[in-house]
Amino acid sequence: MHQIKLTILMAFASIMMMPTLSQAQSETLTLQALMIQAQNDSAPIDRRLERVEYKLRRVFGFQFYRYIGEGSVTLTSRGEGVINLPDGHRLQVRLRGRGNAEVRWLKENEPQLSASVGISRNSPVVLGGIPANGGKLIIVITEQ
Amino acid sequence: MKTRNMKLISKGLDGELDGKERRQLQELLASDPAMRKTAQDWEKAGDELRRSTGDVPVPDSLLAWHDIRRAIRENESNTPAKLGPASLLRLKWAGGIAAFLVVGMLALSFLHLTREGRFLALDSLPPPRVEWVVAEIPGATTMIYTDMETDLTVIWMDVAQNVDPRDT
Repeated sequence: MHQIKLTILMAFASIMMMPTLSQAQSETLTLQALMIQAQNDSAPIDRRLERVEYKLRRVFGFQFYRYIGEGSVTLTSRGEGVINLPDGHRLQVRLRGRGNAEVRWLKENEPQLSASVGISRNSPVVLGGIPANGGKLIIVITEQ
Repeated sequence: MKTRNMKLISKGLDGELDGKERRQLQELLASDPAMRKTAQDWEKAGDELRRSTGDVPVPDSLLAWHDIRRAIRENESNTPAKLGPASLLRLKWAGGIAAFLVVGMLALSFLHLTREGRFLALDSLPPPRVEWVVAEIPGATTMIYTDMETDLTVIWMDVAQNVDPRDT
């Protein structure tokens, strides 16, 4: 009987610990930034965009989307980091708790756009509008 | 025949008459043939009854009690025997395994509800909201749009492309 009690106690303790473990796992967050140029000039189909291009096509009026580059950063729940992107673009990221981040888009150290956004796995945030090469630059931020 | 006389016969057969009543009954039986015949018939019927019941054995209360106790013991022997130490140990192990199985199922359910430590319910929440936006390019304006079908939240900056005539 003592053994059964001990077993049940251990099981109960395991259950109680599970949320803590899950929380520990969720303390780090990886953000990916995908840089795209939206344009009306023809551009080849790029498989690297296949997860977002159909969404962008639905939201924006541009005909073509060209892959420029991407980067990612893994942060703790209150961490800060930088995602370096091509052509001197950078994205400064500061997490403010779970799923909430302040992002700042810079080009050659010149701030372009800042925002505080909630980020979740299935709901990317798109920053965009900076003119470039006859199109507009877009950064799609996704939680990995 | 008078009811009183019939009662007298009945009491006489049962041996419940006192001396006066007994003498009265004897006188009646001697003087009244119908009463005598009734008394004889009832006596005969009584004998018949006693004879018939005498064939049935009267149960001995002590033996009956022994039978009851034996039946109880037999019932007890049919119930599962008390568990020995080995059986008890097996039962403990079985209990432990059962407890772990229950915990395992609970854990799997929990993991099913979560994805890498995140509740699916959170993923089903509306798309992320934008707290604030600052366009840091002079003259630029911003627009925020959330598309419910694609779950995209767009922060669009409209940069005024005013061309300075001096540049041309």
